[in-house]
Amino acid sequence: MESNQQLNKKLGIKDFVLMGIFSAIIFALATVLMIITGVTPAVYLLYPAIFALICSPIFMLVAVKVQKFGAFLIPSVVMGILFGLMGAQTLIITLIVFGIIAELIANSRKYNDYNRIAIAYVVLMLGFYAGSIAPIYVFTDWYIKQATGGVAGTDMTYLNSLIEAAKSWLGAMSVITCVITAWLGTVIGKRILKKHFEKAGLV
Amino acid sequence: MNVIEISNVNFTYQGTKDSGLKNINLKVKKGEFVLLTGRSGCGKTTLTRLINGLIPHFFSGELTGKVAVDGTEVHQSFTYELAEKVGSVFQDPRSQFFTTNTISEVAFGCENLGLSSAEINQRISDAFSTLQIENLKNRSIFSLSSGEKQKIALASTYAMRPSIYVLDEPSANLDIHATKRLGELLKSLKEQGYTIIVSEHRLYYLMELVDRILYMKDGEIIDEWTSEQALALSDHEIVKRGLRAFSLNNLKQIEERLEQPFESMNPPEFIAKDISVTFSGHHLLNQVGFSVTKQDIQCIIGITGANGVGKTTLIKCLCGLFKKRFGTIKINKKVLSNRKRSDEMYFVMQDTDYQLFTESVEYELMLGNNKVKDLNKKIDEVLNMLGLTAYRSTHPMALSGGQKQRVTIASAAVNSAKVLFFDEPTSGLDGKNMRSVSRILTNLHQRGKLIFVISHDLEFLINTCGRIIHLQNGSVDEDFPLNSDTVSKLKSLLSYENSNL
Amino acid sequence: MNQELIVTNPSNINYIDPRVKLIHTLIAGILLFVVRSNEGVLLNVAFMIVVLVFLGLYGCVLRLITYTGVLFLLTKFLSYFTDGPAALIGVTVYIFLKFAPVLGIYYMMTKSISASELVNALERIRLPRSITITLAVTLRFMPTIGQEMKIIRDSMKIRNIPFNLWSVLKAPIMMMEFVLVPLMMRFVKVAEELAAAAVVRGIEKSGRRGSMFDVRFRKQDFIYLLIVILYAIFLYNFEMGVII
Repeated sequence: MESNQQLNKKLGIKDFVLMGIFSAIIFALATVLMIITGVTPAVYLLYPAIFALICSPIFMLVAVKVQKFGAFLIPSVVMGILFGLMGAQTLIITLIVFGIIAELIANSRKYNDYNRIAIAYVVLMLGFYAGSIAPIYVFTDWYIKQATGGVAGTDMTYLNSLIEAAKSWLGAMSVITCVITAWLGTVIGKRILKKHFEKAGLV
Repeated sequence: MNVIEISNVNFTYQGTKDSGLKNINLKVKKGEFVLLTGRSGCGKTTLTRLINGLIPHFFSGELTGKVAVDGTEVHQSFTYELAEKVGSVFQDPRSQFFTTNTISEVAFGCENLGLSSAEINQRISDAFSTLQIENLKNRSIFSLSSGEKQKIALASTYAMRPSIYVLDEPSANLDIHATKRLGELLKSLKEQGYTIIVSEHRLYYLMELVDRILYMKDGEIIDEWTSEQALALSDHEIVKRGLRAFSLNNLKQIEERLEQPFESMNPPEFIAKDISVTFSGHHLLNQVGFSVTKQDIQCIIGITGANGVGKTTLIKCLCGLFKKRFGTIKINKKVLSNRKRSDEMYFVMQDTDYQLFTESVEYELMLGNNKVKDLNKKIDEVLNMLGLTAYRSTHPMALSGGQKQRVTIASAAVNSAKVLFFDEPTSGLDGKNMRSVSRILTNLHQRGKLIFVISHDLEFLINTCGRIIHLQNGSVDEDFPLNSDTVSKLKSLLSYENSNL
Repeated sequence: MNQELIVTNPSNINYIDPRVKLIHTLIAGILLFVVRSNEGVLLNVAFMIVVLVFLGLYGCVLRLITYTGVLFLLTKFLSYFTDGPAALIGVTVYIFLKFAPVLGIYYMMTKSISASELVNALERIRLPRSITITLAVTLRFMPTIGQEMKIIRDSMKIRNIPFNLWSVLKAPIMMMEFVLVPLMMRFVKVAEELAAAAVVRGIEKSGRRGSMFDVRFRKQDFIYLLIVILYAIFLYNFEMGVII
């Protein structure tokens, strides 16, 4: 029958439930980390990097278990919707756009090539980076303008230098860190899958 | 008229070599109540999956023979067509809910069938009233007990109006009281003329309802009994087949259990005094106290009480996991700090899945035990004692439920802790595995460990414990030695539910 | 999401279709980037308060007022300092204040819509089944993750594996493995069981799903939407006036 999913290349209910459950873990992790790193913008810049490191085993497991078109895209869209409902609407856009790119990369070898899955993951995390950091840049800018307008004649050098730093090398650093941790995450993810899930016969 | 016809079926799960089912022939008449039993892995669950169509539509493998439900062949039907004929309830209530609210859960199946909103609402109120669970309407599923969850699972299939019910170990996580209520629900379904097939380890609650009992072994149906024939089986026959008792009335203590610990290895003295825990103004535990001294009979101690009475919280207090509490705990006359106490005590929790961290049974036993002297020798010894030597390098998650339970017990045995706590170590285990857990605990006790077991499994308690501490309303309500005179008292304590929730 | 079903009768005047609330959420997200002044933020919060009162979520109103009030006073106070760590804190507080209206949206979406209502609404706006089913499962499991983590943490403690900030910093990858592996193992198993439970309840039937809610637009939905849009236009003009 057509519902026999092992033979079918279309996603089935097994895949939806698996992606749903693991999206729940990912979303919970994202929310907790956001609260922890949200203390100051400087720490928050590292939020996507930490997230990328921790989440990769989960994304890898989903990719390996589902192995069909949608394994990256559907969790990204679901996450996007949930973040959107919480008000982080930049994430809807970036997660869907980067989710499509990641999906195309991973699916170009039908999820059989480990390297492509890893690249797809790094791309998706860049999307997460863009979506979660962008508002901070915009709002920090606005704060400066307001602070300058608010108290006339005060010395703004300290704050300005801070912002400049954040925009230039701190910003660049945080992107690079995010890419590195995402990649490192895929290495760890692969190890965990081999050590546990393959050995226990779950993959 | 036969509503289920299975002829010459053989089935092997994809990726395995052992056959799941061999030569199955089974005809079930309309309105019949059939009980499938046998040891874990005997194929009874696989047989239920043939009927509800999960095989071959969900679990793939090699299937030969013919399965027909209501006159149509299962492999030619769509799963949603079968869903309207066969209602299914599974073992673990936590993993069969699709929503977080009882009403939307009952609506779920009807929504899938594409019914109109008026029809769905009609069926929801119908299901809640016929099954007499109006009090569970519009509750969060996280606030329900296991028994209540199973009732909602049943209501959810009832709302789809199937004519056949298939239940796979529905009582595995229920206490005696909830099991009895489940039996009553099944009775009313039978009276309404539905065909019911139950696969179970716990048999006693169905004995008045069943028309036939099928005993399976290695994928085959071996015996077929009526309930009278089953009740007439000798204890020896039941134990040989690895089953649990068919009736709770004649349970007897096993003689060998009464053996005393070896002289040189006396268990420590243990005194808990005035343990109190308050949750948002409500006393969950109120001055609970008990003691185990050299003068007491040395035995394994059972802790019983209704769901939600705070048994698990009490154990967490005792072994230092739960810190917000009052009271004192002494081991060998010394009051110990939380930290020291967790070195002296070890707690095996209910869900084995959460307690397995590493990639092999051997590493599992090493984890956290690096202070133990002669660790490797001890691991060899424990593996041997628990019959796990062959699985030394296997990943714990690849083991069966009974084996996993033994691994968690093994890591308690390797640990240097003197006081061991177990929370429901036999839920979901068949007769043979239950008896083996009982034997292992007795063995550990003889080696000088003081053992406390939380359980509502009467058969297991009688096999294992020599003393019962019963909690009610947040304090110790009964504390008595368990012997042939007090077995009936224990039974009545377990069957009577004091719902203080 | 809300675990109680919304008992509000759809014929009640304050029952707003979830799809309309979704549109409101989108508009509120855009407004977040339109509003720059503190006055605008306060106006935004005030509007959310009106909405929450209308929906009958009085507890949330109180929390929203407290949150906004505290942060607003803090920003006022901190704007006197422009150097040193105070400025850094100032930026943080300012960003949190910016998100205050979002807190109101969050209350609206989680306290006045049940998970199954939301999934039904998303189905009605033609989102594919693959997304709606996945989202439904995500919403179902989100509340259980905290509990599962607690059990894992307890069982780590028993096994003498401490789980705290220090141990995480010392061996982050090992800790990650200890926490994630049991959780993932368990959820792989739960996923299979839950999928089977959904199949035997007919989830594979294609075509339009039924709904226990009578989903259609009513008069109050259009009025609500109109008010939201008019408010958004007003706020945009207000901000332009402030900035220029």
